[in-house]
Amino acid sequence: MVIDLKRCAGCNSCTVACRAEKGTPPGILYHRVEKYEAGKYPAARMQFRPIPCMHCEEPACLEVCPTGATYKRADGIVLVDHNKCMGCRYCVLACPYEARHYLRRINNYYGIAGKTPYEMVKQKDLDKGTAVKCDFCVERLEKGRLPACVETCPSQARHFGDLDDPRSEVSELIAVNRGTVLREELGTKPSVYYING
Amino acid sequence: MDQAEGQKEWGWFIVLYVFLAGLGGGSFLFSFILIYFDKYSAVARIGALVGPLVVLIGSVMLLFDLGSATRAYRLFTTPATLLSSWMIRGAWILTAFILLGLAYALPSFAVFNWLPWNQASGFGQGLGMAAALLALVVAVYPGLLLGVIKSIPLWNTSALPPLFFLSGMDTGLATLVLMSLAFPSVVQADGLHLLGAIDAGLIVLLLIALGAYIEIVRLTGVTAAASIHLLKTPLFIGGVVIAGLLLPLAIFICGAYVSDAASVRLMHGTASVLILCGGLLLRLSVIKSGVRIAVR
Repeated sequence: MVIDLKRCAGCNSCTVACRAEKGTPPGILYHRVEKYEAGKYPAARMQFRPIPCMHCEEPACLEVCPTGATYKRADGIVLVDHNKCMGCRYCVLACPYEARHYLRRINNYYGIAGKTPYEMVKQKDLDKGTAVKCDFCVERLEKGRLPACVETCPSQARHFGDLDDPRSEVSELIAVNRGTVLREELGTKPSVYYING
Repeated sequence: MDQAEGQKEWGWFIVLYVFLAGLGGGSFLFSFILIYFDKYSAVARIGALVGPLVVLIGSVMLLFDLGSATRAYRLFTTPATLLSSWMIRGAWILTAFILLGLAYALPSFAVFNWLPWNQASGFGQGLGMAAALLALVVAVYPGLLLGVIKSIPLWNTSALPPLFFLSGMDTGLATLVLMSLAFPSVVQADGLHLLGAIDAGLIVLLLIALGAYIEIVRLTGVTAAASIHLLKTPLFIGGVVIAGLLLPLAIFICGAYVSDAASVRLMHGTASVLILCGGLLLRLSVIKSGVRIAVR
């Protein structure tokens, strides 16, 4: 995935689309937009950085997972098998991008009114006491669609494709714009690149 | 800049585990050494039993901490290719130590004298040696468990395992001193003086290790400095440094000049309780103050 920070306006549509797609319970967001100040007064400005799971080539979460619940697919997507996760939270601490969350409990949006039918459908695969994260919307990818955050981005700041193919749109964007990754020094080799403004 | 916050994922169960692992490992190790040199064996044989049992209680704390503890068996069934995780290595180390430690400690009690070996036999000695080596690893392991987490600079330093190790030995010895108070005829004033002198030496080493740890982490970066800022609460300075280290050290030094057995027992007992509280607070402070590096 490539995220063009020059185009990102910090509208959080991606975060909302993610929540709608995944039906995450209150307090759990697989995606977030960090807001921070860049530059010095009087040239200071607000910057935004959307942060999904980086789906690293060398994931820190996979390295520490003691039960084999975390695994990497052949296409590079890092997933959690919630039937194998014992909820030790080692991965949540180890992830340098804070992309993982622990489902301590699954709260309802409307409290005592119970779960809405929407929540029931979307949360049927969630398991209390396990780690959860962004999965690049694998169920959409398998149907040939794009991840919800990419599809919804109103400024088309996000691009999705095959990083292994040097002629794909994402590879060319990275090459032309000198895309960077977050915390490169850790050697996690993230699959999410940023084009800096 | 926002006020930095310590991590919230790991709490009291992990703190108790890290504390009990160090205490159990230290208690077993010193008991083994005392039995080996045939000194105060009546106390040491209990210490050798308490070690593995305390580590067992600590491991149960880890299970309580899990979100889905019924899947913890996977720690032992996951393929060897996944040995990259320190948690798997730790699970095997803890299990091996508890089993070998108990196998070494139990034959010295009348109820278990049907076992075909004893602590003096070659097999028993071998068990003890292996368990003593594992006790060293058990005391170091919590420092590695936390130490490999790169996103928390307060933990991700090679100065942490020695700190936890020395503190584990210190609390283990303090447990032994407390237990020896129940055997006034076995461990007399001179015995307490000996244990106190070893403990005083450990405290000096611990003070050096703690000072070095804080200084190394403080200069590592912005997030690390924020962690140290969180760490230096009045509870840490008063509870860990003053009441947990300096005060027991002073008591042990003064105790060396007191020959009245009752007074020595009172002084060493007080110092040992202080050491135990300080050890627990040290782990609580280090674990609660772990600030993550912000993602930008």
